[in-house]
Amino acid sequence: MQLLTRTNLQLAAYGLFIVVVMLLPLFMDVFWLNRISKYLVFGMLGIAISMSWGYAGILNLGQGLFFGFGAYMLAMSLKLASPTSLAQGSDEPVPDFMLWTSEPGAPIDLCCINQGSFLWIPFKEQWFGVAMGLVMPTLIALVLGYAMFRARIAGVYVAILTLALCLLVRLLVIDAQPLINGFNGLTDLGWFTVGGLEFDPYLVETYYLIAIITCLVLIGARWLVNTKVGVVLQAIRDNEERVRYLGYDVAVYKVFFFCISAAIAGLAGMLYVIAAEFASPTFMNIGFSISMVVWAAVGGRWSLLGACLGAILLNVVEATVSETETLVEAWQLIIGAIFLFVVLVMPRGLAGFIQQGADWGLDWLHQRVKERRIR
Amino acid sequence: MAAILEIEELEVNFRGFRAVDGFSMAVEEGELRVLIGANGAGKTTLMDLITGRTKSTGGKVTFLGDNITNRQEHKIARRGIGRKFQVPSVFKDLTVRENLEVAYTRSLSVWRNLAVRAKPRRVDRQIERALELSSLTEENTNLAGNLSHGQTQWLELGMVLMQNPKLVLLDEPTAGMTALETEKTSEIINSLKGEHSIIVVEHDMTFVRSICEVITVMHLGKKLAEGTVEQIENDPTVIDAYLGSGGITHA
Repeated sequence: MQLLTRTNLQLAAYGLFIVVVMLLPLFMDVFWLNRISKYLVFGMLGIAISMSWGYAGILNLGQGLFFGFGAYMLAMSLKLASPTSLAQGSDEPVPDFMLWTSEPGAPIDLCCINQGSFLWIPFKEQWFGVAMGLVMPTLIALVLGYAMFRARIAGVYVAILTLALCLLVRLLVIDAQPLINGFNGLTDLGWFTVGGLEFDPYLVETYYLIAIITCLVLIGARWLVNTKVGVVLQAIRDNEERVRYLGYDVAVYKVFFFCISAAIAGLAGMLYVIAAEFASPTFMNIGFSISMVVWAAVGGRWSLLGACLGAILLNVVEATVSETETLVEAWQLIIGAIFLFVVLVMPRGLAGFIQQGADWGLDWLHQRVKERRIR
Repeated sequence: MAAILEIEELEVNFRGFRAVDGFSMAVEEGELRVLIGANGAGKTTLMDLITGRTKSTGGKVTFLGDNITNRQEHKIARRGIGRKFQVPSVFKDLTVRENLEVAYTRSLSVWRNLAVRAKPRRVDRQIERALELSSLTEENTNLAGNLSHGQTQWLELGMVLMQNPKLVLLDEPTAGMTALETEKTSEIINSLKGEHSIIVVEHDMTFVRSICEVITVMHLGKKLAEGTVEQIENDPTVIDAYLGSGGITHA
């Protein structure tokens, strides 16, 4: 009986999720595994949103910015690793699109084929791309978060600012044709390689790479929100001013979680590039960032696992419905209806709904045990 | 005894309206000071000025020898000033225990708090004490949002106890309480006395008599009088300011 507590049930749910994710390759072909691995990446974005929106009360409508940055940083490295980049008439790799826009007679070398191309030089090293994929989103979040939270900007203004910044960067990316192939994004990438193992997206190993990292992020995030930092953060969400009068520097706490959330999104962006083999400005579309928020709302933004599952389930539904011939016209309507239904009927999302059911069950069980003891 | 808090000629000007207007006061270490005054006398504004919520436009606040005038809220709080708000403010979505845990402010930085839950024994003992004092032991795993009004007020007092500040500011701790709850509250406050210096804003004179040593009367942002309960109750200027012979007893 002592084992049946709220926390233990939650831990069991986390455990079950991890076991299922790890066993999936036994039941699926590589095509579906590749799909699921992309959905796991979206699940990771759900975790990031749950952390910033659910736990910290920061509604970030520009999470796509961090996702996109992570994606582009690794994609630059993988672009240089692509065979086409080596076949441009130079010993050193040069992205093919740079030649399309270069001036006649420009040297075919990253140093000076165009004005900004030298920025690509360190990306020849794949691990530099990986490091930047984490560092850049975190750094942007640090500067943005510090500016916002020091000035005590909160609520809807944070949403507007993050959204605007994301769109602004998207425009800059589209505009940067010579540097990162603008509107077309980075395609024709090489494979991510670790110690001779090439992560072809249609390989079970690639699925496991993404699955294991997703599970680690989930466990890490769960650990983090259960430390005192996590409790203080929830207190800030509840009543920021009160926390300030206890002596906590509220802005620092918010910036910290904003950065963690951004780093997770950046990591997700990199994994997405590995699974999907491209990076494009569409990652910074408004629609995508809002989708992330919808996933978290449906799954339950106060639950990390809930938000993660919300992302995965909605994407599975979307894929199945949009590929069923009779529903092909209506799939967006169906997703919209699910969203409305969940938000209206279960304001705490699927996870909150299940949690409530489990709480009732536990209460009932404990009551029964007590009665039996009295008898 | 040395003064722990010294307020000199403090002033705040809200676009021409001086809510606090050249107010001076000194509170000694371990003292319990009651602040009374009609609505709009500037009592809550004074607390806002001390804790940095409102920036003053003149004068000086010295705490433990440091000039803390217009510093950031969290820095003033770290120096050792705790506050209980007029409207009970606890963290409604956290459990009673978590509320107290947050109020334990020996470690405030993000990095240290990543590890602090790993060694909870010393903190636990303090939490048990605070729970006992605020009679919330049975409720410790309930969400604070489900507590009654009186319990919420006690929880906030428990949080002040956890925070363990040198100076405690209490803004109307008995507002909206039944007589029985008020009695319990004065018990809690009396147990805080001695270890902490306390400033209480209060209207309820029965309550004031049960806890008080020295009263300061505020009127229109200025200090009107200061003294013991008897001195204040018989002070003609105070009686005048409180509209007639009813005096402050019925204020």
